[in-house]
Amino acid sequence: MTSASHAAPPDHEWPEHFVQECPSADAYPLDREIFYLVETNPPTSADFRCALDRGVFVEFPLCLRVGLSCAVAATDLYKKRERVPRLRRHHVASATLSEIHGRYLQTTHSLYHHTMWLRRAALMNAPVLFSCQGGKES
Amino acid sequence: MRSSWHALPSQIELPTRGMDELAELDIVEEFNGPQIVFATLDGDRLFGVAADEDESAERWVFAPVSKLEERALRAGIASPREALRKDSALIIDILRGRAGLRVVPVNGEELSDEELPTADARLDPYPSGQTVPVGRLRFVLDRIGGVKDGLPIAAVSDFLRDVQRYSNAVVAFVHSNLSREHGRFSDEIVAEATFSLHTAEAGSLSLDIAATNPQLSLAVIDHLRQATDAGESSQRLASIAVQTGARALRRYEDLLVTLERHELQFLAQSVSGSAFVSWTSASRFSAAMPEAVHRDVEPIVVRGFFRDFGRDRGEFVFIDAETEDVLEGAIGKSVLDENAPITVHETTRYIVMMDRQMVTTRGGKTVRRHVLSRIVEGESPADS
Repeated sequence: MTSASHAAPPDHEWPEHFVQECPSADAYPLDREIFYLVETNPPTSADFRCALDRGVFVEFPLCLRVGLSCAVAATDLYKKRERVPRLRRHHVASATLSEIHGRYLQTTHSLYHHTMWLRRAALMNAPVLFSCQGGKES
Repeated sequence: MRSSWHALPSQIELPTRGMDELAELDIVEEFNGPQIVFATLDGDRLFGVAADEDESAERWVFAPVSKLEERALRAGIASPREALRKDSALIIDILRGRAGLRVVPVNGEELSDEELPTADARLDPYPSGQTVPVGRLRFVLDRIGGVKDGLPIAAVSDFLRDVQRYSNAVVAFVHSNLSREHGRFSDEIVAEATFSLHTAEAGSLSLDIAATNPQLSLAVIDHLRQATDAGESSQRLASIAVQTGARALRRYEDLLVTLERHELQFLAQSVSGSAFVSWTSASRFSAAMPEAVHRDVEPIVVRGFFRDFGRDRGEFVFIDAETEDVLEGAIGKSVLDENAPITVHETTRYIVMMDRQMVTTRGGKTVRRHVLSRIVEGESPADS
């Protein structure tokens, strides 16, 4: 990880449903390959609905609910699929992202769970940015 | 829903319950929402995984867990799949918009693979802060609902006996040259075991077995971890039998039977690893065993004495001095050709090598037979 620096793009490029000061100052600029579970291959915009969109995690801080769960290693998501039947048929997708796409942070008690906050443009383009590992068979 | 959910009873009409009845929710796995949780419902501590969904509800599978099983699950030791495969499992539909719960009792053993975590899946380990001293094996015993009235002495006694026999079998294999280590662990279990209730969760029983040679503890926990991880996979159990001998696996099976009889579960811990197994899984694990231990030939080395040696009939009966196992079979050609004098008496000890043949019958029973291949006169009981 690099140290957090909060230069441009400006804050107004975050999606409208993000609360103020979200993502928090301790989130790192995206600077690496990020892995994400999607239901369909190729991914669609429905795959990038956050906890707020899904009406879950209601007791959690809003800033966490507007982020998207992700991992920094594909293995972490393969293990997650093994543990969680609901995610068993999901595909592991990845994208190499940079600061212009948003920020990320390790969240929850697990070392293997991260949350990414995608800027408005990146969120809209997420189905294109992310592609499934190993093509259609991932 | 994606899955067919055959475990669900047909035509059920259940009242919708309030969301807040699922209390003390603790999320241990998430992905854009909770995926694995611990929670309390009707006073029972439950473990649950997100299993399916449709437009109207998220479907979860829950099952009751003891404090010990919760601890073992959180530490990445116990199998989430096994935790859910109980006859007291529940399917809980969480209605969209958190409009309520529908709770349906099911037999978790009837759930299909796609409705459960995989056999190898474990939670990401969450450090418990508890450590076991080097060279010690710690067994913590519990039951679902705790052991408020105490564990019956018979249960603890049976468990200790089986742990002792199992440990002996593992150590005997590790030290198959019949060195002085053989049998030492057994003595140490008797002499060194300590009951330390304060180290367990309230209501559980914890006992530490300290071996002078830490390698013995490592050998036992390593075998135990392999066996419990194999679960009900006959193929993996067979592989363990090939690597470490069928005898240790049979002793493990005895341990499973005791767990089932007394409705116990245990967490075994050491510095090098941990294992967890519950009576709810024990019958399925042991059912996989006869096939697993089936082998055409397995060479074994045993110390003991002859009860019968019929050279003319070509048959023998040998008593394993340590386990008192009665080993019967045929005298091999090499032994007959050697024509060495054999004393049939308890005071004359031998070290014998034999091939053990395991045959699994159609009824699932395992019949064993031995072929004696070599005899060496050993130390007498007075010398040992």
